[in-house]
Amino acid sequence: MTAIQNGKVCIYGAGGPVGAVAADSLRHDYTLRLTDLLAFDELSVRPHSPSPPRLESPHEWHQVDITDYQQVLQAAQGMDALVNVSVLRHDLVPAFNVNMIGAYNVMKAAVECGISRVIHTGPRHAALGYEGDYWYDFGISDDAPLHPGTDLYALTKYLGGHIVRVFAEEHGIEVITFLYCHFRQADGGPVADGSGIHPFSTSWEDTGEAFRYGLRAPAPPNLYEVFDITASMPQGKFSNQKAQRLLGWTPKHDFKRLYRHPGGGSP
Amino acid sequence: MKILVTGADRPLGALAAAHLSAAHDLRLTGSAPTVEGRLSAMDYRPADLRVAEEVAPLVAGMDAVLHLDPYDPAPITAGDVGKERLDVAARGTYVLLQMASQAAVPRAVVASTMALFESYSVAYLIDETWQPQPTAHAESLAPMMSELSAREFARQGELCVVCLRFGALSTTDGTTADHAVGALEEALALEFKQPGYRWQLFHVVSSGRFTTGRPPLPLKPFH
Repeated sequence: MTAIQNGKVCIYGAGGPVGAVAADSLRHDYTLRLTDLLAFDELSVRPHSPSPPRLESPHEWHQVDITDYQQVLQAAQGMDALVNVSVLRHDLVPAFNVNMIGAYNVMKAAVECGISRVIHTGPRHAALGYEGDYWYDFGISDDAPLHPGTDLYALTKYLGGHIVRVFAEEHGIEVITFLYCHFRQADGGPVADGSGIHPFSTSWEDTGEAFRYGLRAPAPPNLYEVFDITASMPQGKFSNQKAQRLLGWTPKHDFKRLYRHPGGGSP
Repeated sequence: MKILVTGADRPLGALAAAHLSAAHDLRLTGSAPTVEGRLSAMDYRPADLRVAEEVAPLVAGMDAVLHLDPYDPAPITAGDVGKERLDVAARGTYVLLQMASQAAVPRAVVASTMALFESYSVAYLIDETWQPQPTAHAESLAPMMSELSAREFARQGELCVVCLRFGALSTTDGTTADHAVGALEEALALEFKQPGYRWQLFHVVSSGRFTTGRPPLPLKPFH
């Protein structure tokens, strides 16, 4: 499979902040079909979170319910790649429908439309409050299996990821899965210098850029390849080395001001 | 022992109910409105396992849950079949075990299927250390969704779970009724040493391609 250098890309869940930064990063090189459950004018603006850009033709905005296969299929038709950033976190029925069934629908549509590259997304929950969640571990690999516990959001995304993997391996679809934990504004946001930062953090800007690298990357070693999309953090828990090596993505923002003593010296 | 049996309206559930009722106090559930024959005299309550309000009264006061529905769930004939199948398997298991955990039920036994391994070469000796390889179809993925969901309840320490993978029931290439019932009885009594695993997994195969030379019973952890 050749990398997707240009062409048409459908983003599911484009109304959320990850979809917003993905669209912003991809809009100059790809023709985007942005889809969300809501119409563009119905999207809510959240403080400190990116909102999707209002794009003109040839880009498109479509209302798509990702839990409805026919709608997902229709949105996928004519596309060169699919990006699934849809998510629902807290409510039982939508969480299973969006995070698990939605993933199933996107992959089914990819098969039906002959699409050979998909970017899938999900969380790497780092601290779920039980032994086995890796929180007290270091050197955690991108390929470390997720241990979602019974957290609704983590578990439903985990199930969706397994479905995506099975589709990828059976149908030869290259799936690049991005995992996230904490998002920050590029400058760290409205917090004081030296206030500390989570060991798996990513700027919104770098989050968006990763999608361009994901589409343009050569075929990954495995059909389902997982990448931790994190800034270069010094704590030693998580790493972006795999994304650098296989995708060529290097985050620009490192939040140094948050994990160094204010003023640059030692206390 | 007070035991809730799901999938009692299906062949495995009916088999389990018929055999376990002699020694245990059973409460049965399934998606069918009623059950027939010998089971009709038992405490059968139809329910949608995805709905917490329906599940909570089922698990109340139970010592164990036999979640047999994932092995052979009722056919779905209307709507988006794939979506419904996956949702029943995943959300049904999640809600059931969540309610069981909240009701302080200490143990669940989840029935799954050896069909998860059919894509492997017949030359392989498949045991519990092999990764399930469902196909990219909802019917095939569904039991894996149930397993994975149940596994996380055990991992998080909310209850102990025994997962039993059965072959086709009572066929020459599967699991006999005696072995199936025997495995369920053993799973209900299996000792969980703590500290130690709260998840145990066993293949229960009597004959055919998935036999390994190890007898299906007694259940013996593959460590």
